[in-house]
Amino acid sequence: MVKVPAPIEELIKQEGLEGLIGETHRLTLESLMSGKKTPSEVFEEIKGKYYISTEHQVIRALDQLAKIHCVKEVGRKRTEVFTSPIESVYKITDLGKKLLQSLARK
Amino acid sequence: MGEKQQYVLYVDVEHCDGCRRCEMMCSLVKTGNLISPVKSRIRVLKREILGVDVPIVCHHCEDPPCRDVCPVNAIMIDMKTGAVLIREDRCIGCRECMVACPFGAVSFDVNRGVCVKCDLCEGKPRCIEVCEWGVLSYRRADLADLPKKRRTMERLQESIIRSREIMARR
Amino acid sequence: MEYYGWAGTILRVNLTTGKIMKQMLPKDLAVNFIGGRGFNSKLLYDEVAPDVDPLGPDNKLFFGVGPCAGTIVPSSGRWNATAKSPTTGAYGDGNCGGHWGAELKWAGYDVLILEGKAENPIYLWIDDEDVEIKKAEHLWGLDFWETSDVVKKELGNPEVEVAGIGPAGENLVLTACIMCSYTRAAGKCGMGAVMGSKNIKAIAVRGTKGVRVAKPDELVKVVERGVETLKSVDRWWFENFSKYGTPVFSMMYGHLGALPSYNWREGWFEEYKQLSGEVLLRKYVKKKRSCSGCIFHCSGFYIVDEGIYAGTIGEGIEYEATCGFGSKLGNADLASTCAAKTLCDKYGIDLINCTDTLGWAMECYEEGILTKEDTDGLEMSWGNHESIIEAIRRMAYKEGKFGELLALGSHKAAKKIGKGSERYSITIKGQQMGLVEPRAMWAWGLGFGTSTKGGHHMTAEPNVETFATPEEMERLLGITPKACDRFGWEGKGQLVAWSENMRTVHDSLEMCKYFFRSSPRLYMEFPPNVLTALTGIQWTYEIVLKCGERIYNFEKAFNVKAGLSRKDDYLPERFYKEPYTVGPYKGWVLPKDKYEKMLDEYYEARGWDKKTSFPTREKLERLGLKYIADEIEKVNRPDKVEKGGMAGG
Repeated sequence: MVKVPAPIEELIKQEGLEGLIGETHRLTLESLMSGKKTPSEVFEEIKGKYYISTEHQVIRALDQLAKIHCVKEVGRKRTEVFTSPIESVYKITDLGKKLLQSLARK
Repeated sequence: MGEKQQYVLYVDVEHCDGCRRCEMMCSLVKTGNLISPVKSRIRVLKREILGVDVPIVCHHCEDPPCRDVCPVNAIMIDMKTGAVLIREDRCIGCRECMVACPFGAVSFDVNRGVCVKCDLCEGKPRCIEVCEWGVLSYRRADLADLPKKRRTMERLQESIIRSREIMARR
Repeated sequence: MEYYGWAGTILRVNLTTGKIMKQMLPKDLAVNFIGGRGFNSKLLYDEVAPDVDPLGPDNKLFFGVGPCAGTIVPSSGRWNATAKSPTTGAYGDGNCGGHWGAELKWAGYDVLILEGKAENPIYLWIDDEDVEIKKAEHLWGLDFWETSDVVKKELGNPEVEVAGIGPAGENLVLTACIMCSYTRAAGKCGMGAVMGSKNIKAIAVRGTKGVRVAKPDELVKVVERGVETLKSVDRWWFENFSKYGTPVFSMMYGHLGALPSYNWREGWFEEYKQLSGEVLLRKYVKKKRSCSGCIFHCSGFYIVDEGIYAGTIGEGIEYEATCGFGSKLGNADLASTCAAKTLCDKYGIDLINCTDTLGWAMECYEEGILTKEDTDGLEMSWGNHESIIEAIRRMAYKEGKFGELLALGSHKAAKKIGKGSERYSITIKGQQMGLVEPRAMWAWGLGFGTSTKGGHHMTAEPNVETFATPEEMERLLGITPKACDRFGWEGKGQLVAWSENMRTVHDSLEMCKYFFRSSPRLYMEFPPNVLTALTGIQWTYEIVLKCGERIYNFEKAFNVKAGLSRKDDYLPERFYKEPYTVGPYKGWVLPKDKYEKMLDEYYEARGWDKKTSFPTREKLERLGLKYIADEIEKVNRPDKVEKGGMAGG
């Protein structure tokens, strides 16, 4: 079991995400280290790794990370990937960087 | 001490989608355990091929015709909420109020032999809890014109912005 | 016996004798089969011999609603029509939304059973406890919208809910469906033809009795929490599905190369963006509408006000129309798909059965197997939407040689003309397939093959494959995270078995499966919580899941007795052998050896025999179904036929 910093652990518990933060989230956070991105942009980078095969899995991971304050929505961008042509843009937070460190240590 | 604000049940009728959850919630709350449209104080009528769905609600008139015609003075206005109420212990079930209401908002409960209508749930209408898209809302009476005014504004703002752009090019 | 949630009454109408009978809902049926599809499947197995003529008087047509029908449970009120299917020759059902199911429940019924055959056209009028068989000669020949209007006028009540058939059902067209609420369809398996074969045109219902709730405050809280969970876990889905409806799939699948195009030859359609939900919303959708109790308002009320289809009005424009008549038929004209959908609603034709049949005809035409002489002069080339519209009309009325051919549905039509056209009939167990490309989403591929009603996309609808994270797959469902790879085989068997059991539960509650889309938490928590609050009986996730499994095994057992086995659980060869030739996934197939692995894993997860697919005695007895185990044992096993054909295992 990965040991995450206490404040994050508390948030994970609050949001009912125990045991559900793992490799998918590590890959997502790592991708955001090189700059803010939309879910489809993150997907382009990490697809094929750890069985990730659609953007929707990344959207789910980003939603979960946003709930535990490890990513933050910072804008919107027109990408025309989905029916709703505009996507949210996310950046990694300081808490997210800490989470990434503990996930990477595993 | 200022006057208490008067609130109204506002219906954004153009956007009603005909799900009828309001009827189900109302009947459940008012009967205690039964979900049935004939026990509901709000009723949605649908005309599918016209794409029109209309919730029929009590308007809680300031000068209610139903109160005027009641032979036993069973209908009164609640001082707190402004709701028009039927005092069921006084009601004799003559149904004259049903005739007098211009909207058809009053109905008759065959099990209890009295007329029933919306009472705004003592100022916390339950129907709005299940109206997912805010078609039903509980608003300040003196601001209840704003939603429609905003929609008019939206219709005009596109053309205002466009004509400004066109004028700027000249 | 006082029921909460359930109405407590089964209504039986014998159309041959005119006898109307009401039976009390047995308690063990209620607690072991939940409702809706669950009731239907159990009753079908027990009351209909698998060798009856599906269009004859010995077939029975069951209409089932669930305990949630007519309540604030979100997206409830769906209903199932079940019978032996004339297209598969085995288990068949159609699932439908709208408002008719809620009305039947409010009238005081959990199941309506139609038996026998009326001598002359009739319609049924259910007014709470008063049930009347009425003459319908004046309705015969009318389209479904006209029928609904005339019935409502005749009964003096525009609020009456009407289910029924159009000309297609009357003419025993195999692609015919049962319609309700003007634009909703119980689409699959030729249920419209079954209804037409019984000479019953419509069922009108008015219900004022309502539904009793055991724990009202708890129900309100459970519903509120459930909707919150949905919006929180499946946020993208909630926002986009409510806004665009199922047309949201055109961009979703289009982009993933999973959009069936040119009769399932390809998964990529160059013009897919022209068929998007966003374009549809902008151009033609004027208002959103909902089925009974639904929070999504996914349905679009549409008006086409330009072009050659100007004047087209309708509602509930689905992806199976925009892309079924669109990419599947090489057609990029969105307005024509709206016009086609309206026609299908009026004629009472299922969109999927229709579009797959037209796709077959078009590919055969393009390949020269069908000539202009065979099509009575109609030019059935890709994207020719004027031909599509005309072909639908001919199908409904069996007009001409071509109309009669189309009315058989692609599977039987291909069998009739031969000439290698079978290769282009994309059906499973004789039933046409819903619109997701198996080569691009392998769990869906498996789900098509194993569906008890043949080629159905909603039997498993394994959204968890591509929407949930690998962590959720592993921790919440106990399935390998490899199952999240849409191009992998591992874990798919388990995922599809679980999805099918859960979807069976959804069809029995009955609730729209889109509420449960891809949140494992919602799947596990919501059904038992809502059933407990509604019925007053204590339900758990394990009990509910077992009910789903039990019901599914009934359907499978019916199929086994009807002669189906492992060999009927395969996809058309196209998906194994023909790679995509265009798009970003060019070259992809679903290799057959991998499919076999998925199928093996599936049977293992289900406790079914791998060679034959038959449910094992051990599994059936564990579900409390010893009598079915005894009956299955008497069925000739396909793997033992060579050895002298002795029955028994």
